[in-house]
Amino acid sequence: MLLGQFAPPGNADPLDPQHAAKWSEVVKSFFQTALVGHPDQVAHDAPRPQFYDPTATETADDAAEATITWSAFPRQVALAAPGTRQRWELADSSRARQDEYCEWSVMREGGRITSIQFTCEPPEYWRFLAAVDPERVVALYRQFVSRDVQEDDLFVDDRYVLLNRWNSTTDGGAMHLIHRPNSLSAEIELAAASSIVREIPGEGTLMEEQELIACGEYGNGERNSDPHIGGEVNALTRQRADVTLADPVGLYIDGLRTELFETPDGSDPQACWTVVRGDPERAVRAVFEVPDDRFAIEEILIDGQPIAFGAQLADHITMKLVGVACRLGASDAEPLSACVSPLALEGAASLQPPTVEIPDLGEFELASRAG
Amino acid sequence: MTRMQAARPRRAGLESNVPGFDAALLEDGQLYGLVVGIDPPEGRKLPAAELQQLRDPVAELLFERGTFPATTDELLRALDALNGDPAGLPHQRSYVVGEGGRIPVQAGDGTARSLRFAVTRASAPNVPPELLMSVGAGGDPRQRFLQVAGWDQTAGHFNFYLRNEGTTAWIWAGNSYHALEPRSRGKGPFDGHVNGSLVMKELKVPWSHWHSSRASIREAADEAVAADPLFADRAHADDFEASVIRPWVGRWTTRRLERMRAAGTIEHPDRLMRQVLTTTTANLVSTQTESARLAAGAPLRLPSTFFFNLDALEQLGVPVPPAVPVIPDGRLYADALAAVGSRLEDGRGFRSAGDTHFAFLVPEPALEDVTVVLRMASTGMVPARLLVAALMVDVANPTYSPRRAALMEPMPASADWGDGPTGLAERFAAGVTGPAGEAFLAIWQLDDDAWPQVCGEILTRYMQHVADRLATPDGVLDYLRLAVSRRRRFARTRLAEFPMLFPATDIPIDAPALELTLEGAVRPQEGA
Repeated sequence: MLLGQFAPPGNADPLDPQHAAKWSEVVKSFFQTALVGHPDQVAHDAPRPQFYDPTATETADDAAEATITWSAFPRQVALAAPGTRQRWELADSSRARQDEYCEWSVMREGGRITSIQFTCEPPEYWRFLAAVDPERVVALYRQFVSRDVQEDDLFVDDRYVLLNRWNSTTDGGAMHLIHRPNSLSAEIELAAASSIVREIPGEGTLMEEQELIACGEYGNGERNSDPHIGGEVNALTRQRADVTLADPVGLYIDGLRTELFETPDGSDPQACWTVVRGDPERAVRAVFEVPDDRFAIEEILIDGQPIAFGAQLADHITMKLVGVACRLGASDAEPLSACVSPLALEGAASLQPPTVEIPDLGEFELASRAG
Repeated sequence: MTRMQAARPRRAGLESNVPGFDAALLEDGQLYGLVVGIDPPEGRKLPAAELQQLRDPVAELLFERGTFPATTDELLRALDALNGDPAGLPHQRSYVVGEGGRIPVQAGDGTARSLRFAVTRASAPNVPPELLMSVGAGGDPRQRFLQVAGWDQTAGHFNFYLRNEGTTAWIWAGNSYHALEPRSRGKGPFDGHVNGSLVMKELKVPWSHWHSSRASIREAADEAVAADPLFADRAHADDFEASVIRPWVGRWTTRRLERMRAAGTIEHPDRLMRQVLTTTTANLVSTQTESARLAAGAPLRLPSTFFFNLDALEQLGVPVPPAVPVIPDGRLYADALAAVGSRLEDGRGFRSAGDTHFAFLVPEPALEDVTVVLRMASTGMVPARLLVAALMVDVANPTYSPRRAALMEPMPASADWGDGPTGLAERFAAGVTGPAGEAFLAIWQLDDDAWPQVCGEILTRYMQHVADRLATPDGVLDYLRLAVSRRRRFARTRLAEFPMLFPATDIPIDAPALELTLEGAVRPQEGA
């Protein structure tokens, strides 16, 4: 069956029919871009026949969902910092370090941690929301980040500022993703690009996550997320399935593992973890804070260490996306026999850039492909 | 994995390791006690009064109710039947490990993939599972090894059980404290559960040999294994580390130390200090680079714990060097592999030149040892300075250091808890002797505001030497030879059970053990 339209990430906000249709058009445009790939820029990046837009192509009855999970702690930080405390400090130093589709901010009062905010909401959605309903954006900031948020903090010349004072640091609030690679369009592009099955002469069919991402160049091989998502998607298309992303398309917080947590009063540490935006199964925002201030967050131990960093929690947060595979075994797509490579000049001259219809969204600007 | 003697042919193992044990004498539907080294070698029927003292879910949910499963399926079904019981363990997870698990399956191949499962059952999500199984994969389910550990919350230790293959006779093989007791130490299940806790050899990312988020085990050559729900529903090793192994190593250590604290006196300090000063066991850690992706010009980041006990020293307050040790050009490492003839062999005909799936798999200080070190400090049993001073002795050899182990003699027979004149720290420091003792005292006698800085500077100078040598072909070859030397030490333990745990090399098997110096040089180990 065909999907009628794409819902907002996590169904976090009830949109009126007009706005809901517009948001769906935004997501659809990402799919259209991802379906085409970048044949104007590189070779062997397309076609992508096993990836489909579920609003344009039927999802068959044999469809099965595949949940793909990864750690929220940025792997590039772990690779760069040998010590545990060193990597916590580094991951907490800047949102630009938080590149696993999860960003956080540690809120303090008088030097004590009052809460830790985690978000995986895509910037495209907030740009969209700011364009169609700016009052709601201000209200949501006041509800979830600070009662002190002013409209002027978020909008300059009536344009929404993604990196505003309430959403640009690791200690002043986190409303949505801001690090450039953390975007919805990047997720869709990643799923589409990794769907290409590659049979390389002399090497055979590529199956390992690192060889796939090195060959397909669909993300950063040093993250937790990109190679793993790509590897899992490709495992499905190697079974000759068609793949897409489950609606609502988004990146989600799968959960917080608390087996290593110890509260000072022996209470369940899960009581400190609250999903505050998104469906229960599609959390886009969660907060860690102690109910009724029964004790300080710093009194909670994780593996024997008192909480002092948001990164300590990120170590135990799992992220997810949900893919859909159907027509298992039925795809007749031919594998590509080469890896992504620069275009030869003569080839480039003969190619046309992809034609993608961009919906008219007024002030709204589509995010460019994430790097 | 959760070992419990996983995958060794246990009947033959018990019969060969326990003179007098005869599996044929065990009756079906019975629980026997056989703590090797303590119980009679033929085992003994466990009296009802002793069974009553076993307060773990294996005893309570199975044996007390007269359930003696013959197979993993029977055991899981018996647990499923109790999912609605307040004591039930309805939440199941399975994990897969196999040294050859990522070798592509080809028709008719007989490669030793050594696949096996770890299965956990918990009472609720987000709590550590109270019951763990180590289960063989494939073959006759009645003959597969099946070993179970259950946490006894009342006593604060694990009980270890195994099913006698081909029967419904079960053996209680001891509890965590038997791992520490001289008569049973290193025997029965405690040759793997060396310190009474759970074991996952390849503990950290990228969890070499495990199905994980970093690398999947996608296929099983045996169709029955591929169809097994334990395989189909396999979870990532990431979860096994974070949700099972680390919590239980921490909780067992906490309960063990609480008992000493309550007594106020530390009897047998050697049982703790050997986890500081010696390598009672080890974990295995590797680079995060797949060997197939080793590339000329691409850096290869080595695990810092190969060079010093990073996990303990950093948490104890030493400002550790911020840089990761790196071979700047993957070609240097590839050349070193070729120079020593590194290759994977399964002993059945499979052979492939190169390294394990993730490059440079080496022993590192064991989680259970590091956890004891950190808990000794955090509970106030001893000051961090004592532990740092001990670990800084021969710091360039975080595993298998005879120089640091020399500090075990003399050891006080007992000591008091805390930082007083009769406390463990003062009594230990008063007794140290020899060159190792002098090295220990050089740090121990520093002021509290001086030792972190001094230790940090020692490590910084040392790691600069290491970095310099990692940029040279000879240096990389030396470190690979050192890695092989340490692997061979590990391979002597019963944790090294399966082919292709490590690559084989052309380095003679009788080559001398090697050690590292603070100048970054590799040389034959003194005192080995």
